[in-house]
Amino acid sequence: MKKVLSLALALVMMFAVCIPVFAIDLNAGSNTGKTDVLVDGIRDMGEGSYTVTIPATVDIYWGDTSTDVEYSIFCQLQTGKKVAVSVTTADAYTMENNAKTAKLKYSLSDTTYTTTKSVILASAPEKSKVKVLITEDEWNKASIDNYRGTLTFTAGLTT
Amino acid sequence: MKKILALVMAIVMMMAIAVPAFAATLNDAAKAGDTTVIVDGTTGIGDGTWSVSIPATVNLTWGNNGSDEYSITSQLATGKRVKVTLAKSVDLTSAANEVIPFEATDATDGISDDEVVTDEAHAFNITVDAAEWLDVPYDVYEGQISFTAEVVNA
Repeated sequence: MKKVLSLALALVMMFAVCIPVFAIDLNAGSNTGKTDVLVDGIRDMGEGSYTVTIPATVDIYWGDTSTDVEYSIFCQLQTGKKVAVSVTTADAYTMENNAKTAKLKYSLSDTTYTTTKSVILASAPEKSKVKVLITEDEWNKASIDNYRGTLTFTAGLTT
Repeated sequence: MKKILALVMAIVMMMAIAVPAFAATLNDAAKAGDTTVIVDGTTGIGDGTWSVSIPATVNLTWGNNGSDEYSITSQLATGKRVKVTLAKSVDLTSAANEVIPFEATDATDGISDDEVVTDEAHAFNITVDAAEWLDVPYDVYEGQISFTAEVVNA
């Protein structure tokens, strides 16, 4: 077993010593040659990075049945990867007044979005929007007050 | 006429025989003499021999420029030099055909310093415009630099 190990070790050391031999020699008989230039962005940068910018606050005007909540994305990812954003509610689709005595139900549409490209420049971000929907019936039966709800955005990578 | 020809022939033969007479003759009157030793290194050998060792691969780190070296070894005729020219031949390209343009430039004049040099190192640079790194997805990119070497007059 020791002999096998020492042989394997010797082979590994020989390969290590061989690395400089990979240079190419030009001479009068063959005076041109090529050097490969390699960049491994996956080794250096991993999956990449992305930024999704969401609004801190969105105002909904009384009586509006559909309000757009716009957000933007820029990224630099591995080839084939994209940013996926999903939006849910943190309040069971129910806004409340400050005193928490009155409620206003709502729903969401267009809650998912996947970027079209792996690289989106910060200077030209992709934009998407989720819609906050409140039916006329909900408006009609709500007491007039200030209501507040919370949307939760989740971003990740997909292929 | 025959006598004239015979005389001319005799003179020619005497001159031919006279060539070895250019050797120095040492005797009591001239006890020392010089022999010139000649080596004609240009006959049969020509410009001489040389080799240029270039790297098979240069690895760049994402977002950075790079550099490496080639080396010249030569034994040339007087006044001759090895000249190396290099240029990008293929831009950095991924399997998905995304491209990062780059430039390859010699950090020196590419010409050996002397007729006889051993492993004379010459640096070359690989530069990528900073904005180009931001424009493409992270991936493995491969490009190529072409080298050409020749013997030139100093």
